[in-house]
Amino acid sequence: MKILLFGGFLGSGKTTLILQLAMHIVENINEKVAIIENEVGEIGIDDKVLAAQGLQVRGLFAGCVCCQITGDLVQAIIELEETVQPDWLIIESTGLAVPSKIVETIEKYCHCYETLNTIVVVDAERWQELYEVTGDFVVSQIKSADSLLINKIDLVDSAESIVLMDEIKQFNDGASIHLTTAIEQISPKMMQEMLKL
Amino acid sequence: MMPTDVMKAEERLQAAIALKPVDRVPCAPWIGEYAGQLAGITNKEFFADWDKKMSAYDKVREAYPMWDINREDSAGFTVGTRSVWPIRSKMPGLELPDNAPRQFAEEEVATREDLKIIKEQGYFPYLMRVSAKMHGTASEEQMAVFGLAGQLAAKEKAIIEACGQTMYYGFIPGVPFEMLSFHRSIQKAYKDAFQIGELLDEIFPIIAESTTGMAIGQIKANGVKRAFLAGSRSAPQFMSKKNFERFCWPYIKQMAVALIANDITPSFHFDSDWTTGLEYFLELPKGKCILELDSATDIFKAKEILKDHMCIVGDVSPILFTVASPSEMDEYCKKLIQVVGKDGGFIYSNGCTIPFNSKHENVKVFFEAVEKYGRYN
Repeated sequence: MKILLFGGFLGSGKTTLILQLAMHIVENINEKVAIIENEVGEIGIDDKVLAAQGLQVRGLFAGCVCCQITGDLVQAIIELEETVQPDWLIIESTGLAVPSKIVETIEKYCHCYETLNTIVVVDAERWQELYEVTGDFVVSQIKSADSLLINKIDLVDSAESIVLMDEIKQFNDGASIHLTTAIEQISPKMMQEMLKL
Repeated sequence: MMPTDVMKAEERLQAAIALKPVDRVPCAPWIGEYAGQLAGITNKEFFADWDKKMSAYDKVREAYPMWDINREDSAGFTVGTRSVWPIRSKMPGLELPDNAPRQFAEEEVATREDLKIIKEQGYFPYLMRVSAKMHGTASEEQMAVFGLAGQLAAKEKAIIEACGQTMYYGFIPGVPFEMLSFHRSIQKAYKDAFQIGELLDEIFPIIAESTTGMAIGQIKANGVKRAFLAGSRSAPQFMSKKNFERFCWPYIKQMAVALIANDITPSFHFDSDWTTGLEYFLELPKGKCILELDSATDIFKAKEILKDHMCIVGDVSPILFTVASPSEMDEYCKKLIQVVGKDGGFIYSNGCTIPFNSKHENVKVFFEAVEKYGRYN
C-alpha cells in the first residue's frame, strides 16, 4: 500500500485535488484507492457517492481541534489495510495539522505500507492573508512537503504566481512544486508526477 | 479515594494549584464518552439517559478509586442541553449512528453583521441571536436549557462529593477568539483576523468582560471556584506573534486577572501547541492559575518554564490510550509524574478527553500509575 498524505490550510483545495487524483488512479491505472478524510472545517467527501465509483472512504472523528484524530487515524489505516487492501491510501489531514507530525505517528505505529509521501496544497489566492495571520504555521506545513501544489493560480496573475513560487521555494527547496487550478481538470502528466513521488 | 490518602480531594487540588505539597498526585482525567464504553452502554444511551450516564461514571469510580478530581461536564453533554454549547453537535442516535462519538459541526453561523450586535447591544443579545440560529432555540427556550443544565450540574456535584471527589469546573466558556471561531467557523475566523481586525479589537474586550461576569455570577452560585477557559484555536501555533499579541493574549490575561480578583482559578484548557507561548503565562500571578495541556505542547518544556509559577495539568496523549502498548503507556506515565510532578504544581491527566475507543488495558495502566509513581506520603 502506498500512502499519500495531503496537507494544507483549510479551504486550500485538498478535497477537490484528492478526488481528481483518486478517480485518475481508479479509471486510468486500474488500482484500488481508499481515502481517509476528516471534516474539521472542510466540506466532507460524500462517501456514498464515491463508494458507487469504486472508492472506499473513511471519515475521522471531527471533534474539537485537538489531538484525538491521530489515534483514530492510525486505527483507520490499519483497518483499511486489513479489510480493503488498497493499492493507494490517500489521507486528507485537517487543515490545522502539520503533516510532519502525522508522518511521525504513522511511521511509529503503522508498518503496513511501502511508501509514505506528503503533498501540501498552498492556496495562492489567500497566501498573503494566511502568512500574515498564521505566520510560521503555514510555513511549517510547507516545510513538511515532498511535493507542493500551488492551487487556485487562476485567481492570481502570472507574475504573482512566479513571485509566490520563489517565496515558497525559500521555505522548502527540496520539494517539487507545481502550479495548478483544481477547479479545472488536473493534467494526467501532473497526476503521474504526484504518484511517482 | 484511596485508603492511604490523607488529604481530601478539594484540599489536594487547591494545594496543587498553590504549588504546595500534596500526599499524592491529583488524578484528574477527563473521562467523557469513554465512561459509557467501559460501562457497556451505547453512546446514544450515554447522552440521552442521565441515570445511565451517572451509573457509567459510578463504574469508573469503582474500577479506579484514585480518580479524585472530576472534570466531567455532564450537564452540558446531554441531548436535552446540547444547545448550551457554542457550536452545533452531531449526536449519536440522532444525526449519527448509536455508538458513534459525538462530533462538532464546524460551520459559519454568525455573520459579520451579527458581530456588530456585540458592539451595539452587548454580548448577551448576540449570544441569544447566535443560539437561535445555531440550535433553533428562542431566547426563553434557551434560558430554560441553561436552567436545566444548572439543575443537572447541581445533582452531579452532590453525587461527586458524596463519592469523595471534587468538582473541577464551575463554569465553561472560551476566550474571545475561540468563541469567534465556534460561531463563525475556524476558516472564517482566520479570515476575520485579516480582514476585519478593527471590529475584533472593539468586540473582543466586550466578550472578555461579559464572559468573565457570567463566570463570576455562576461560580458564586455553585461554589466551584475554577473556570475553564477554552483556547485551542487561539494557540500561538496557529497565529503569528503579532496577531497572537493582538487578538488572543490580551484577552486571556484580562479574563484571568478578573477571575483571580474574584477568588476564582482560571484553568486554561489550551489544546494545540502552546510551546512557543509558554513565557506569556509568567505574566499572570504565581500559584493562581492552571494550564491544561493535551500533548501537542511540550509539557516538559512547560515544567521548565512554569515550575515555580503555575500548576500544569496533562497530558497523556490519545495515541497512548488507543494504539500504543500498555508498557509504552506505563513508561510515559512514569516519566510524566516523575518529571512534571516533581516538587508539585502538577495535576495528572490525559490530554483533553480520554478517547472514546481507548483500550481498557491502557486506561488501567494510566490509573495504576498514580499509586506506582505518584504517592508522596
